[in-house]
Amino acid sequence: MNIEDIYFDPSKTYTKKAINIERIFPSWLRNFALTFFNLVLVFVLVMYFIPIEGINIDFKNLKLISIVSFCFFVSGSLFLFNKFINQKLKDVKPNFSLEEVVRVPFNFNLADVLDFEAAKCLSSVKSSSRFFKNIIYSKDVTEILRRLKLTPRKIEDNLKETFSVNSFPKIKEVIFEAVKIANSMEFQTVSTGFLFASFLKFNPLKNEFLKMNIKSEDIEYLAFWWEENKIQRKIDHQFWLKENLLSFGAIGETFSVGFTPNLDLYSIDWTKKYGFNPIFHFKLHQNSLSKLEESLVKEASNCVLLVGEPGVGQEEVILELTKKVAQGKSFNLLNYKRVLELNMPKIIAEGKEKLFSKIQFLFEEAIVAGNVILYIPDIHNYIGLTFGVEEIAKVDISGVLLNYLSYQDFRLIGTTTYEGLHGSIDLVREISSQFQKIELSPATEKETIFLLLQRISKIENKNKIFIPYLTIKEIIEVCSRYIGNLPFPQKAFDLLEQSLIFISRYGKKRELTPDIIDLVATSRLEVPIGKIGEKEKETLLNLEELIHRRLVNQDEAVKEVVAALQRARADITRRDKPIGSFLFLGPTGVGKTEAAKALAENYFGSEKAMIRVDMSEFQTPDSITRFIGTINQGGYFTDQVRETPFSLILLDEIEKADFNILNLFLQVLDEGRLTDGMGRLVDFRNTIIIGTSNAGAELIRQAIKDGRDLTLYKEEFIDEILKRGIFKPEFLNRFDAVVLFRTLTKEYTIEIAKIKLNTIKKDLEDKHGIKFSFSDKLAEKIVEIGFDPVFGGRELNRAIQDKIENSIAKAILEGRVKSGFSISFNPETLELIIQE
Amino acid sequence: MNIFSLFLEWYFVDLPSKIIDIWENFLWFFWRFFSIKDLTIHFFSPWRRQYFTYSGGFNIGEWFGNLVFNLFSRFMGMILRTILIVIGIVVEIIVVILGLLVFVFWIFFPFLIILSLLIAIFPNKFLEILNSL
Repeated sequence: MNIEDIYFDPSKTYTKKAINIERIFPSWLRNFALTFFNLVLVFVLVMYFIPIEGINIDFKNLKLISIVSFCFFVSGSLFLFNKFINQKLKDVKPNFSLEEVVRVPFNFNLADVLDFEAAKCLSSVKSSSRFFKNIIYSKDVTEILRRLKLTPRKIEDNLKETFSVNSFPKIKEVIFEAVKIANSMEFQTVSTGFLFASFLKFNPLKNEFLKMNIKSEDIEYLAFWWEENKIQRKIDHQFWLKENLLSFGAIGETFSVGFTPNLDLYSIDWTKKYGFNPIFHFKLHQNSLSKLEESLVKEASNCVLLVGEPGVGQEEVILELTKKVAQGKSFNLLNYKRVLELNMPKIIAEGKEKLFSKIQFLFEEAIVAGNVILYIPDIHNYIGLTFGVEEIAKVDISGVLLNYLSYQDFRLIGTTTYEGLHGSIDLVREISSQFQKIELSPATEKETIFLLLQRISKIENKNKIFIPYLTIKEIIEVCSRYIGNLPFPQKAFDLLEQSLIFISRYGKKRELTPDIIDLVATSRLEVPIGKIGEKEKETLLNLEELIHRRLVNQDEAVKEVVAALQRARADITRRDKPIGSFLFLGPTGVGKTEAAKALAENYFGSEKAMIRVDMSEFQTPDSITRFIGTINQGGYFTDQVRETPFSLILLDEIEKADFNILNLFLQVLDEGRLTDGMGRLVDFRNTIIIGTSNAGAELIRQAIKDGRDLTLYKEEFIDEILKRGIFKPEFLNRFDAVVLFRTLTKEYTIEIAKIKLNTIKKDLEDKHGIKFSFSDKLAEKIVEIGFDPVFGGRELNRAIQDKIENSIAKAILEGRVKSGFSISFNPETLELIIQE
Repeated sequence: MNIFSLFLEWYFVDLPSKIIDIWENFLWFFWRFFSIKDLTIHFFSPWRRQYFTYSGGFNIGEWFGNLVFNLFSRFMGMILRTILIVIGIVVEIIVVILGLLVFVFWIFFPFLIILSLLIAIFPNKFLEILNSL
């Protein structure tokens, strides 16, 4: 499609007429004149009814009749003229959809899609850079920029050089892209916000804004949010609209439905609380909401189960349903019904003696009233007795429930988790079969941004605080990287709430900045969180040196891992794979695990951020259920990753695991995700996965003995491993790098011994105040005892433990060595020498 | 389309249909506010759906008691519903009249403006006509 062929003539639009009128007779002048003539009319009327001495209002006076009539004429004409300009010319309502424009752009005048503000920015503009300047100064974009803590002036200053270079995209191109953006968000016209986002899709502005950490998508989200706000404000001002009139309620309704005195006592009225809140354009789980509405009006049972992990937004769906039903925007059979949350804890807290009869009574009342939709959160707690260990959960109302579920007039929504569904509800088949199940998956990051933006004005007003857009982005980033045990949107809401509490206690400025989010997340998760990008960059650049502090003699291996990580992370866009994945091959005790620990410490901030799995425990085919869990129980492996998604995963002795388990890793290494036994998605995109194996170790040993270069030998080695059928080729290919670890020579083992002795020295000084000194000879002696070419460093550890650590420990326990003492060892006899 | 035709379209097509929409909204709102349709459908139903069911066995005393209560409940419902339906209908009639007035006023408003201009230019003629009336 050639963009030049699209018809584009701004002079043929209604908005152009409005712009021309505005130029000749601006709105401020019209409003001034209107106010003046209205005031004259009001003055004359007031004087007529409340006469003041000296001012005689006589409607038989010809002059007065002329003046009053003229004022009425002018004021009436201006009133109509203003309304005409605002409603007909400025408020663009194209008689075609943007979707049609995207599909067949040649059939339309592209200028017709612009709203008044956007058309004004385009008016008399010759270059697209000028068009962009006008856009950033428009009312809507100024608001969007305020959210980004920017001003039009600041942007203009920042882009001074860019403006001087005439390499901006063509105006038509920008508008057509903006049409696509607005259409994807189901809008009917293109506002300046969408044009701004569209400009950021093209260079040079794309790169310039990336430097400010702003992407086109960010502006799209903000433009969407701002347009939604505008629509909502417009609705609020039109009191005659059905949704506004409905908030007055209906007295007649109470005359045709039944009393609910008991339900009123034991329930929370969602309709009263949220029914008349604004219905936004964007709704989380839109499809599930539609399914829920359909399920509630079916001819058979009208009981629905919303199934999803806690926090995926079950309440959001019920909230949206409540609003739609209260505002008459759902099915006729549902409209104007009341959504009541049954307060089960309250009912149970009043005693279990009459519990069943009470619940039966409440259900009867709901049916008789004829306008009630009941909602029971976490319904699995009250069905069956197998799931749930808390006292409150030990109630089984399935007997009562069963009597009512098949009634068409009994509308019930229950929420449950996968554990609850499989562990309780599914076990009572009669109950389970009566419910229609709707599964909810976690919200995406984009959806969560929309939800947070929707709530932002309310939160800001309540807390008297300003929340910039970058803070919302930081919340999403931190939640996505570090919080794995909760889904979106809940984890984002939680972090925001905690940050608000923090700022209300300690904050001096009334602004929630990204730093505060990091601070709160750091204290909550006990993981150092900072400006992730910068910290990561610095770590990556120095990673080789940092790992070498702990690991000797494995130059090729370290180089390869660091290079692979740098390659993976240099990619600007986020990849849907783990941060890095490596297979460490080599004899036992040569530092494979040590390398993983060093990586965890330096990349993730702590050795604790390592999930270590001994794969030899998963050798049989049935161990897969233990590994990823079953429908009733979480998996040993997957649960750990869900808990700490930002971590290093060390799979020890990976070759020993069953092939079915290894096959799972094909997906993990490829897509960065895995579904556990309970159907929950586990995210691996923030992990580094390292598999270790000593398969073929004897080949490496032989190669080193033959003096071969390991880097060159690798391919031959891998061929041999594949030949032996230890790993499948598709498995090996999925790793970012397969790294060979060389066997330790005596010379390097002495270096390792020194590192280990230094660690003991540091620990003794820090914890006990004991000075420990050692000579190279001691290290050599230890290596003489502990060096074993087969078991590598592992034997060395044993020697250090036996000869050094044990002697010191004994001396400390016996009281021979105390704080302030100096100790050393005789390198020949390994006898402990103590100096006070 | 020139600006004058646009104005005429807006004034005599767009706006009247908007007025009718708003008018309809108010009629709909009061219809719902007083639930005239629901009350008519449930006109003979027991008041607030309160009634006794007749049990399986035959006990003339209980049966008669239930019958009296249920009849009373229905009668109560009928009276209260009648009151509300009548009020609702009266309000609806008022809304119809008011809506009609607004509509008529809107259609004649431009002529009123033109008339006011004529009066401003020829006030004596206006007084003459007024006096002759």
